[in-house]
Amino acid sequence: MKKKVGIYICQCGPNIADNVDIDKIIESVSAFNDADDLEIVAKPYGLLCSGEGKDYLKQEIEENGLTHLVIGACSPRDHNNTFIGVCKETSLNPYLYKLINIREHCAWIIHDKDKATEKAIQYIRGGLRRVLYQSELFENKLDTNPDVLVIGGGIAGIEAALSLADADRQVFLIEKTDRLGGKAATFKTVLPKQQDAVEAIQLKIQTVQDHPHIQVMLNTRLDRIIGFLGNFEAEVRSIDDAEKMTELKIGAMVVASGFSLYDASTHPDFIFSGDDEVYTALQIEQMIAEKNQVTTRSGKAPKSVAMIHCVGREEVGYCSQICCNAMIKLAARFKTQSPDTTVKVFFRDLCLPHQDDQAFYNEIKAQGVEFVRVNRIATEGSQIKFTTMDENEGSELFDMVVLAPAMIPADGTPDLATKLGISLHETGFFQEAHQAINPVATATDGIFIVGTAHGPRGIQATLLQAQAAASKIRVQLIPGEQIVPEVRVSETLEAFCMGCKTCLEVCHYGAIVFDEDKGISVVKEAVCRGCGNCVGSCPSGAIQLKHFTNPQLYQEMIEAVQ
Amino acid sequence: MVKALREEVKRLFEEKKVDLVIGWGKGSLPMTATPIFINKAEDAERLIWDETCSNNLAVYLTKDKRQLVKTDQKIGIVVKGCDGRSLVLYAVENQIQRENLVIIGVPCAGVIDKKKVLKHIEGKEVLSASFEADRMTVEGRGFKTEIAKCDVLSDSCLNCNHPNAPVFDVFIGEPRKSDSVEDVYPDVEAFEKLDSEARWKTMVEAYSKCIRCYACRNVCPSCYCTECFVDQNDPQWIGKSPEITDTLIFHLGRNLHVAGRCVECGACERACPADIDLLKLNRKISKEILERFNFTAGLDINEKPALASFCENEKQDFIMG
Amino acid sequence: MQEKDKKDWQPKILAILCNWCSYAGADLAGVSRIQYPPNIRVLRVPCSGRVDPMFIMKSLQNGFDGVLVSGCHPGDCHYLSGNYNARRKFAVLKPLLEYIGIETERVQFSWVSAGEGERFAEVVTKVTNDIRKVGPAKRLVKGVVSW
Repeated sequence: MKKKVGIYICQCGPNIADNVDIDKIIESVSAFNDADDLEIVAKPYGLLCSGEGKDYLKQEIEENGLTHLVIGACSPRDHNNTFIGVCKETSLNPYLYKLINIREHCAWIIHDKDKATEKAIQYIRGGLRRVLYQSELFENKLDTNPDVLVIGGGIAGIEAALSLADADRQVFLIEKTDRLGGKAATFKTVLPKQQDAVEAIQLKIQTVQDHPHIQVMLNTRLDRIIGFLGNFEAEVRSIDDAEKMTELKIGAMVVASGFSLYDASTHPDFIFSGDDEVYTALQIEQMIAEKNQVTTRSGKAPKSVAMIHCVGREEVGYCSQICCNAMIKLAARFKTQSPDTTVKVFFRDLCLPHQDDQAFYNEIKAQGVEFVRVNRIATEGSQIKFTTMDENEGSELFDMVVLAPAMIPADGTPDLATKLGISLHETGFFQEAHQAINPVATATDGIFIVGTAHGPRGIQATLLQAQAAASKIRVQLIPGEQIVPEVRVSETLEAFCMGCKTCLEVCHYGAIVFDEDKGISVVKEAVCRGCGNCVGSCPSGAIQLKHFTNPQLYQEMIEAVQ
Repeated sequence: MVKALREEVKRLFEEKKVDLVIGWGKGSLPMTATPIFINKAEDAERLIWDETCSNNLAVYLTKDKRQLVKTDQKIGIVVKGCDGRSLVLYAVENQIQRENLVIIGVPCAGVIDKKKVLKHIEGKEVLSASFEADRMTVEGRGFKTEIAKCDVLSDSCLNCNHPNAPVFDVFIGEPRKSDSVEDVYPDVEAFEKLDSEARWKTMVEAYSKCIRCYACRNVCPSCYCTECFVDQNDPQWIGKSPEITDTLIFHLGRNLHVAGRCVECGACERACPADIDLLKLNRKISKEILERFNFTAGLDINEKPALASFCENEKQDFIMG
Repeated sequence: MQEKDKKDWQPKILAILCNWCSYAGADLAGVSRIQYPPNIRVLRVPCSGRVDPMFIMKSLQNGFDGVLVSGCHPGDCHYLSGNYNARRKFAVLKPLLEYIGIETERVQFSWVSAGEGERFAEVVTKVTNDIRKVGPAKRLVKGVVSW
């Protein structure tokens, strides 16, 4: 069939027209007219992305019966979607169109108009040659399930569940222990300002339990997950009764699996047993929550307390962010319990990130809590040996020692990561999609990480993150609305695939699965992001990336050197 | 050694551990061995193992050559170090079921490159050849010559650090010492020292001899694609005529396709009718991969292929600062 | 080549850029109106991991005097790890091409982020100057092989 290609060059006001000779481009590409196979319609236009410009394009496509379209204008990063949208309103398949950037890459970077024009001509010719090799692609709309699985019933999971359920999403909340609330539920007061939080947290737990849109499943763990954003299937299993498996259909997941603490007893500098007066900050929190006072094992209030920061920090290789404040909070608590208590805080670095922290720290110091900056510290039971920053050595015996061990990933985190097919950061916490730009999403669309499963943080940051993830889900999965997965994705060419599974290794999204019967790799189109890493890695040329195929890129490349 | 091999294979048949054994038998010409497929115990007598057993038998397990063996068969296979590495590669690349294989390792002190022997005796016809510890004797009409074995070893064997299969079920005799060669790539290092023009000149001269018979590809255990990139026509990566740039890009393309997968068995070079030292490029790549990624193909079944994995903090000296 | 031709000669350089970082960096160079040599021809790909080394060799064979491949900085890949996989491929390709005698200037790799418009212009300028120094490609060029 004879091909009729429309080539429209946008003047972009003066942006392109001033520095590229558009008439020359038109003249040059018109030379490709070939009576038998190819007809070129080449025209300039003022501003193609304007309302009139778009209407003009639609009209041109239909009136000329264009089979392909090349637009010479700005960066595809600016207006590719604009013109795809234009094509969608016509009979031309949007993937038979190509936008060529002659503004950023020609007009704006080359003073010499002749040179800019020459380069623009080559680009447009490359686009022409490429577009003839492009294929129609058809978008496939998928129904979505707006329900959400929340993994972990701590404060992070609770907040995410509530934020979703209040927006009428059905939430399944699974928790591996027999109660909701996690570690935060054991805190008498919470940072940053020591507010009493017991009731607030209990209220949240109660709301979750009573919520018509939340189904809480205690003593339950995730077994298996398949699918993609909008269409996941999860199998969850009762921890007590391995026979009891429930299948859930959901559209997204929130991972809120929490944290564990570094085991200080494994550290060679901290020697103590269960009989010694050595506690973690969390144990003190629990003691306060249970009996509203802190006592030694013999039941007496301690007269002297040593508080040791950063236990295991060097070993894990990061700051746990909240322990300094948590310890200062407990130091205050000791002073409230009995102002005569000697409280010494041994620290090397203090992390006081919140705006209220400094004032609180100053206040505690004024109350007589002593802060000792140490270079090294070791304990043997409640006998403490330390070296200060100016190399003075000290040794003291205390009634009680409180340690702030580093926060580490919760037990079972690697296993959960494998089941979900998402990555872990080198510290062992779950890895976000992008640390700065996309901090609650993961590499897998539809799976979000919140709270301390993502790394050390306080309750405030945890709740913000849970609310953020819930918002993202509410925006991505709107009940009744379909989603349109990317169509420029990879596909395997069955006959060429040798089944070496190299593509499965390089795909960061788990978008490729192996068909054991056929012995070939198969791309899950709805999961594929279209990076083409598999294409670049396939030893047998058995995968192609639609719209960025070898022939398409090759034609564009070869034309540019003519 | 050969006796032990035959006994072992006989035992495997008798104990019904294998349905088929792939090994080497005596070739019809002097200095050659031929792959044989035996399916009963008494045929074990046909097996040989000596310096002529150069074929990498692993190739018979790849898909395109598998018509020779049935997939549900329990297969015994006799392997040198490099053949054994091919099996590891196949396991990594999901080409074989390890549990269906009985890998019979033999200690390898290197195989001969027949072309080198012929060069040594100026192309005279050899009627018989025999091997001793470090030399071989060739006889023909009116001549009898002794050649030091090291002069006729396949290039691939000269600096070999992996004389035994890395994975095996039975081993005949004593495994040889591995990793005994310290300077594995002296040839590559010497070539790197030439200036760019000399290197290019050498390459053009060498590869101008290529007649594009594709014997190197066909014999390569790591080349098992259904359709080779050479045969693809959209885009046509390689022009069909034996033009030097097409020829070079064919070879470079092949080298890159087997990058991190080449076990340096030297089959390509021994098969080359134009006598091009094809391994030179493969060995350059292997050297880079070893130095940069501390990876050697075909040693560890659990290690991902070098080019399908990465470390975040890798050396990137070749990237503009 | 005559001195005069040498002066007029404009190298042709293929620049394969990943969509999310380096292409965006090139856009920024444009938006900032930074002037840089007109010698590059950009091929936009989703990710540097998509780049098949065959493209690089074929472009040299077909008349490009040099090739620049640029992706996101390590850790910044829009697709998380495509640039790491690409880096391994280039780590093999570049020494291999050098080994056969292709001038080291001809094939270059860089990381340029979306925010580095100025750097993109610098990279292109450097590559262009490098290739100017070594002159028109003659090795591996179809029909004009010479040393």
